[in-house]
Amino acid sequence: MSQPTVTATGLTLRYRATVALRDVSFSLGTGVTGLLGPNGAGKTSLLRILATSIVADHGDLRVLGADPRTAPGRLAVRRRLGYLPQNPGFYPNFTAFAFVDYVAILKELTDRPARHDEVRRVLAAVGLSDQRTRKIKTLSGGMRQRVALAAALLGDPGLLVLDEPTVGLDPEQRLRFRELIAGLGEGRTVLLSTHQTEDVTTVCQRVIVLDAGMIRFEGDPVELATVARGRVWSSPVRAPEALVSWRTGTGVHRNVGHPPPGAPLVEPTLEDGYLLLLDPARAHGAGAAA
Amino acid sequence: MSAPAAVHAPSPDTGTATAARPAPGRACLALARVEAVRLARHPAVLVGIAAYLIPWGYSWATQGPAGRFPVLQDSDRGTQIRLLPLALATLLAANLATLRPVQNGTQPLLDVLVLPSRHRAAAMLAALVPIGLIAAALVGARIAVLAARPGASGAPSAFELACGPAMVLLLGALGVLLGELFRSPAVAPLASVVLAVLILAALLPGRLADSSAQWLLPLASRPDGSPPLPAGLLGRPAGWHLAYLVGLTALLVAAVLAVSRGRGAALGTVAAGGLALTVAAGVLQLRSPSGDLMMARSEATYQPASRQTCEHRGTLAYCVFPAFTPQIAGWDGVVHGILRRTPPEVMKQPWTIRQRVWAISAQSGGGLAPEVPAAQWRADDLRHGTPGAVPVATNWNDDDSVLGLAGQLAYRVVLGANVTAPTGATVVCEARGALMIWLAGQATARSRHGLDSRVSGSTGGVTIPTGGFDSGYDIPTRALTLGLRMLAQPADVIADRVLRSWPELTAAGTTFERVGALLGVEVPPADQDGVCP
Repeated sequence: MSQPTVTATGLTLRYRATVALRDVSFSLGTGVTGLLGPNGAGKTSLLRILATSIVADHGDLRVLGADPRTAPGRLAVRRRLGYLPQNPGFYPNFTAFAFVDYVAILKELTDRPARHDEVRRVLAAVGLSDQRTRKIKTLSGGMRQRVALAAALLGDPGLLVLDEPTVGLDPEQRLRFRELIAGLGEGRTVLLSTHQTEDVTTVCQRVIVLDAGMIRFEGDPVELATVARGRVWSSPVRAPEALVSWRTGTGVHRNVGHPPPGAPLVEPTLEDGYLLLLDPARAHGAGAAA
Repeated sequence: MSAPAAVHAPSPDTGTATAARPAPGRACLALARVEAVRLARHPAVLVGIAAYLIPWGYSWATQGPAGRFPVLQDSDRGTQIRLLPLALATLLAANLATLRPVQNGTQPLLDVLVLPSRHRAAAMLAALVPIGLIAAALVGARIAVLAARPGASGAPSAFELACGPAMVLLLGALGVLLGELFRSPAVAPLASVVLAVLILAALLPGRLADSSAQWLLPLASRPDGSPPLPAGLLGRPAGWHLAYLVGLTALLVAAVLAVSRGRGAALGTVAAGGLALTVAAGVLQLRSPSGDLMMARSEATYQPASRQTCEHRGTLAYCVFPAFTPQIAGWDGVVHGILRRTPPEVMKQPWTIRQRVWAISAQSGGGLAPEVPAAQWRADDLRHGTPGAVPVATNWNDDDSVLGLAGQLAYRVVLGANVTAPTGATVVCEARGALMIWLAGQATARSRHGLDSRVSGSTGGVTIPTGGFDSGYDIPTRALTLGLRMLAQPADVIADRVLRSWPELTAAGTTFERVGALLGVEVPPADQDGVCP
């Protein structure tokens, strides 16, 4: 891994009696890192800490060489941060250009001609050059998401934090978005929170699995798939003791966890590894929340 | 869907547009500019501007309130109430702009952007300034147009003119504060309704309108319709009221910045300065008029001659309060329109036209029209060698004021120069009444129009008004009808006959039948009102 952009050590966050993050430590370098985890795992809390929206109760954090717990550090991080929140809001009566321009001003891009050049650049980067004069209320969900990504790209941020950017997109939009995100990881750090294991498989060089406020896995996607090596079988019928079993499109059943008698092993996927990783955790994961 | 362009990797430092990091102040100004443009284009603000311009355009098209000459020290405060819709619209628009992140879910993004919330709030406040400037431009344009109109007199008060734009800024800042304090978009409309009701209550006759407490509201300019006073007699604490509005605005600005996590000595200074200014100016504006001012008002009401200058034109003298001189040309037309129909001995008498005001209750805006202080006027006129001066109000060139002067002069011409203004209603009977109607009606086109307007709204006779006072000349139905029949004849023909029979027509007791015989006009049947013997 290249020089770390983010180094987190022992991050803990509580919402009253609920522990959202429990002693979380990791580091991020350039490239796209996927953050996987079920609902309530603490993904959004972790992203909000990295984005300087909230501060952890305990632990150390360095982002882009700055400490976001201090006001100067927070400002330094924000100047080099791109953040796409979960369910980003828009101003429906603004055009795409006006909205991104508005965000650019809030990022202190004050020289008007240079700012407008930058807005045009990021809109082109997300493929919205032709749509820039359209009001946001007339854009599709995928286009809106790209407007939000364009706003996050303003000023060439060193760290991009994307919270479930592909939720609600149709398959084509999702593919386009993956193509975009894959390009963003060149030379910068991208942390992508998602429920979609395909997102991680297709664009991430690294993956972190978070569950019940704790990191369950940190490595590359192939390693996560190997967690399930030797534990996935195909059979003509459903294996009653399997952790997960479903009938595939070819008519055979894919069984994860426990083998049906005489069934052959098949090559595991990242999704199989993720399922096996989380299943034991289900039994003792009470008390964590996002 | 167009293909995205290649995304380039970030430079080690930052991108080109961010290479030179500006101070937050510049970002604040850039944001203020964007917000100002959006505010200026907000439908509510556009409606507010239209509400200012449309009545103005209408009065322009219809030549104002019946063509009245503008008196600028009276017109200046008229601009304030015209700005009330724009001020309320600015409150609503600024509130919605402040609530925009909450309403549209962009707060999570804005929270992690570089410009902190206090600077965003400051930008929103700064965005109000161009709206204030638009308000000032509307006020300036209106007063400039009024000043350029023929017959405009007086001078506007800069304080009165500034109060309207200051009110726009104040209510805009209130809209921002409500947006910072409450997340609901319903609060600002409620506040607008409450403010509008309070302000309108202060404009309508009633306890609040007559109380000096009305000055504590953003707008204190009750248009009472009474004739305007000379600037020196107004005594309106417009300067203190402006300071009060500025102080309140500073307080709201400080509150907005404090709510949006602004801190520091400068904020404390603004808050303390705003509070001090609000309290001091708020108290000072409520002071009673000074003794000197009350004395000056009393003198202007009862002995106006010493406060006036007279312009002499032959045997005519036109006496006006300072700055009302442009009205003289209008009076002169009416006076000549009457005197040309009188015998030379009447025409050559030293006629004096003197402005009259009722300045005693100027502070509260009056109420019922006052009675003519006839004894004081008579004594004042005698003292200054102008017995029987014809009264004329300070509002001039509308139908009523022109008819009023024409009627007052006609009455003196018919009855003799030394009669004074009427106290209460004075009935003018028989030939004198008919002659008076004819003289007043034929003087100018506007006096005729004024007479026709009064006749069309009358069920019997007609009253010739004394501008601003509860008095006038009542002309009973039969005299009115005969006078109107005289007006229906060719003016020069009737004028010749009038001059030939002047002594008899102006004598007391000359009957209608005799008038009809002398002038060749059909005499109307006897009326039933019985007011004349």
